Amino acid sequence: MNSEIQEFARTLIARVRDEAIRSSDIAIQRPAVDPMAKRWQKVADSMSSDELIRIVIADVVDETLFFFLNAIDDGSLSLVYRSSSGATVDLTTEGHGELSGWYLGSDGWRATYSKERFVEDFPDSAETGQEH
Amino acid sequence: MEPELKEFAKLLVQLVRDEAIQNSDFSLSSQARGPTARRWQQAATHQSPLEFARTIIPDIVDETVFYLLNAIDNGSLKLTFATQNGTQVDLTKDGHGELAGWYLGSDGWRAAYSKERFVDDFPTSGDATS
Repeated sequence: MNSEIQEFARTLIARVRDEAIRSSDIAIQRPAVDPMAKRWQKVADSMSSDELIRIVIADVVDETLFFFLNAIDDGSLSLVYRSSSGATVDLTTEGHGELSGWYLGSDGWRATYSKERFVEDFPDSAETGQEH
Repeated sequence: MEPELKEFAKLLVQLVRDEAIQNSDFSLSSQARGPTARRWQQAATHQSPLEFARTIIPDIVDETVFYLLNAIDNGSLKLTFATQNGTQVDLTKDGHGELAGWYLGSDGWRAAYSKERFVDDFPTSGDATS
C-alpha cells in the first residue's frame, strides 16, 4: 500500500469513522442535548427496542455520510470525482463547501435519491423532526 | 448543481446509504446468521435499548464506510485523492480493489488508526500490509 493511500486511510478514520462514532454516542447520553438525541431517547422510553434500532441505523448511516462530506467540504479529504462520461469534478471546489448541507437538506440528495427511511431534524417548514 | 455532482450524489446515496441501511436491517432479522448479526441478536436480549444502540453504533459506521470503499473498489464511484503535498492517487486503481478489506482487516486501517471502539468479526481476515 503506498503512502498516499495510507494518508487517505488516516484521514478517513480520523475525520469520518471516529467523528461519526463520537457524535452518535452523544445521542445516547442523558440528558439529550440535540434533536437526534431527543428523538432516540423519546423512542427508547416509549417504544420497542426494535423500533429504536431501526431509527438508530438510518441516523448513524447519515451521521457517517455527513462527516465524510464535511471532510470534503473543509478540504481535509481532497477528492476529485470522475463521472461516467469521463468528466471530472473537484468535490471541494465545485461543492462550495456545501456537500454535507446538500446531502441532509429538505430537498437534498437524501430526500431525492434514497429509497430508505430518514428523519429530517431541521425541516424548512416545521420545528420538529419529520419522518420520511 | 453540475451534472457530475448530481451523479456523485445519486451513487453515494444508492450505493452507500441505502446499501448500508438495508444490510444493517438484515442483521436485525432472525434469518441473519453472520457473526455481526449473532452479536446483535445476543446484545438485544441482554441490553437496554440505549445500551444496544451504543453496541451497534460503531458497527453501522463501519458498515457505511465499508460500502463507500466497496463502491470505490468496484469502480462504481471513481475518486482521486490528493494528498497534502499535492500528489494524486486513483483510489480504485491504486487500491487494487482492496480498500474495503484493508479497512476492516484485523491489522487494517480501523485497527491501526482509529481511537474509537470496534469489534473484529472476522479475525485474521484481510491484511493492511499487503
